[in-house]
Amino acid sequence: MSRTTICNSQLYKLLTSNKVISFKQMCHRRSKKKMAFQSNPKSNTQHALNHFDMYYSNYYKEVWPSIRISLLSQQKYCALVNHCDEGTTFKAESILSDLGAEDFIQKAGDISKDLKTEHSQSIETGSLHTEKNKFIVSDDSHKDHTQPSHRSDSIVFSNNNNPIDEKNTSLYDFMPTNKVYTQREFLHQELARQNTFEDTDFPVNVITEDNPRIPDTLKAYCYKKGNIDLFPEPSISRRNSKLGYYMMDAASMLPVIALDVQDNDNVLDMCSAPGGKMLTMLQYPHSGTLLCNDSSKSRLQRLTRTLHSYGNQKMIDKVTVNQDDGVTLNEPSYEKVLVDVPCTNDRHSTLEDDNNIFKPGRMKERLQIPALQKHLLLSGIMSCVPGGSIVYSTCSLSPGQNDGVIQATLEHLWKETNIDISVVDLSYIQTLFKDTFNFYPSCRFGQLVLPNLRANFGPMFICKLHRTK
Amino acid sequence: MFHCKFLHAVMKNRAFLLFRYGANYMTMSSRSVHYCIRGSIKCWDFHENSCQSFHIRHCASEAALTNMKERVTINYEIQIEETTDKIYEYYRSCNIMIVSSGKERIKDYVQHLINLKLKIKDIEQLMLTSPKILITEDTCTLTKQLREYGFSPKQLVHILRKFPDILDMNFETFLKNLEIFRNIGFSDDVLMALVVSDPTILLLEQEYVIHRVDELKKMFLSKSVLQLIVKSPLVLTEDINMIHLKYEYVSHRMGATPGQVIRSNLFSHSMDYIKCRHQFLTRAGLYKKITKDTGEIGKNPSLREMLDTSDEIFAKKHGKMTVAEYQTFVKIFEKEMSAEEVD
Repeated sequence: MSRTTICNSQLYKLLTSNKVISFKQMCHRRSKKKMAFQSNPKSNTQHALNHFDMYYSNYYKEVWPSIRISLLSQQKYCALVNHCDEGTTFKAESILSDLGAEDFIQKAGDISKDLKTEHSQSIETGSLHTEKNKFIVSDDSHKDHTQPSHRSDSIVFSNNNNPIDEKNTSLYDFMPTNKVYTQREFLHQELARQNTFEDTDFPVNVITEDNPRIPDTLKAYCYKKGNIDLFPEPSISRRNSKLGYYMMDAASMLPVIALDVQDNDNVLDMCSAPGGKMLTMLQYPHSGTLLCNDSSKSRLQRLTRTLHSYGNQKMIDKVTVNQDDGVTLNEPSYEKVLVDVPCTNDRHSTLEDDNNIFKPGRMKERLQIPALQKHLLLSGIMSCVPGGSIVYSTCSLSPGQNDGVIQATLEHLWKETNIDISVVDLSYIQTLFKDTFNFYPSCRFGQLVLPNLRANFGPMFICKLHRTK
Repeated sequence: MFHCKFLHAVMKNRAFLLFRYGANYMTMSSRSVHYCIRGSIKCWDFHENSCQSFHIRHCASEAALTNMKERVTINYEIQIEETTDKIYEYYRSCNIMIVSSGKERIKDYVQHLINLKLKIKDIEQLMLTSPKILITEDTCTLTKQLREYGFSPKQLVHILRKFPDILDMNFETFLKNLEIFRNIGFSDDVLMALVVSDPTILLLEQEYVIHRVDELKKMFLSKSVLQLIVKSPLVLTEDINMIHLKYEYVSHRMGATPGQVIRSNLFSHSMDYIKCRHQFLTRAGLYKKITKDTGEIGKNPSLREMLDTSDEIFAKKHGKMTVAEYQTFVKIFEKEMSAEEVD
């Protein structure tokens, strides 16, 4: 009895002493960390950056750090001058030039004119008309100059149907599974496949065109390289309650310039919202129609708001707004088609967590992007009349979404349809805008504007296709 | 024939030349002779042809030697006159009171400093930038004492250029202030280098210095503290909170080790500069914070590579960018920081 009492009292002492705390601590240490518990969940932007680091760093190599830092730093804008009436235009221009900005579009126009005069001087005959006709037919001498590796028109696709090793030919042989892929791993493989671009020896017609027309009415101001100032918000004009200028990424104007809208062209803008490119097109002296299509109603409402706050009655009348899935459009009735497809939107994805395509839950959606882009481009080509041109643009750096989609589309057209498509050599864009943008030198089918700290525009990929048949 | 013999004599016996030129200070090596006549230190190189021609020109006869001696002296005096005039004119144009004390005083001072083996160009620059040298009466004695203490002419120029107020100081106070640092554990050589790199530390009071060193010892090893002070003397004068902030940023936000901190000149840079460099690398994807849990091996550049490089080398080495791009980033970053402060 006495012994038990002693024991109890000892136990009590033990419990009341410091050792109780250490016991508690031990219990705490023993508790296992929950697997599902994440102390620091990654943000969507972090997911996007990891993805880019994984795929883009291998593709862009030593340029990648410069692109990455630019994507994460303040973006530059240009101010597109609104030409709805003279008073508003004059006022906007005076404001912008007072701020020290310069008109880079007209500067490019001047370079273009200089080049033309030099060209005509060098060719003694100077007959531009015959020159132009020659361009439309695919010209071998020009091809050699632009893309030497893809010249031969009669390249046969290399078949990969090599006989498999003799050991494994029998169906009755037991084939042990080396590796079982989970669904997640499959998804990752699919991602890797989509984000790399394999250059196949697919025969492509490349044609060169005359430098595009840059009308006097198209004016856009931006600051010089290295200047990081921002433009003030545009004010509403008292005369007609329209805004003087529209702020947009300067690189977004390049697809419209490359499209080279002529006076009587009927134009289709397939994924039109939020309306920057539409507004640029409206600055052209143009008497044809302009169909702005988008699949989202809310985005179209934004486009309509933009149109009404900038455009005069003539502009508004010219534009037809249509809500439809771009993939369904396939009637050839437009001379010029602009296919500005939805993409991973790299700049937005690295900066904003909201509506970010790199959210883990949207992985499947992300995987479908290249297929969707291809379909949209195909229906864009279908909607274009023979002899017309199509401009494909994205704001992504992914080679799979840029050159990859063009290549897949051209292959598809070549195999499945009778449509003949030539790729237009856009190297003139580099010459005209070399002072404003930073271009990636080795794109196969188009031009890619790379973001750079001094000229933080883009990314923007442009490719121009010409439908010959 | 004569000059060959002479050259031979030169190589053999230094005293011979010394005697011939009547120079008052001279050092000689097999390739060159430094000699000094009336305070000017000059050097003649013995390079095959040149040394011969020199000997032909100047050492052919006794008469030529005396001629040469006179010419050097005259040239020299002209130089002093010119410098004095220039300084005098400059002060007159600036309306500084020294003019009242006259040209002679300036000339005396110049002569004095030349006697201390300072170069004429340096003297001119010193006097133009800080009139204090001419105003203070003790200049001559103090500079002489400093020179005798062991500072080389170059070091003396450095000290006077960086901190002309040293002339207000008594030599005894100077020695007393140095004693503070010697007590902490600095050796004489290191201490002199420290004074040259940042002479303002001489103004610090003993209690303050001891307190600051104690504070630093809480963060680093005692022997590292001395190293740290020599590398960036700013740690002695800067606000202690700022030092803590910098250290916390570097060790917690960037994950740098104390060893890296000691090896770099971290504390001589401003906080904004450190943040800017760090952000530049982080955004370029070239710097990732390594935590112990993940067990990754860091590929991060060291603090020294990050902070103690010029803009050009830094931009080129990390991401192959240009200085212009780096400077644009600095502008963008400054703008972001000011926007954050407003928020």
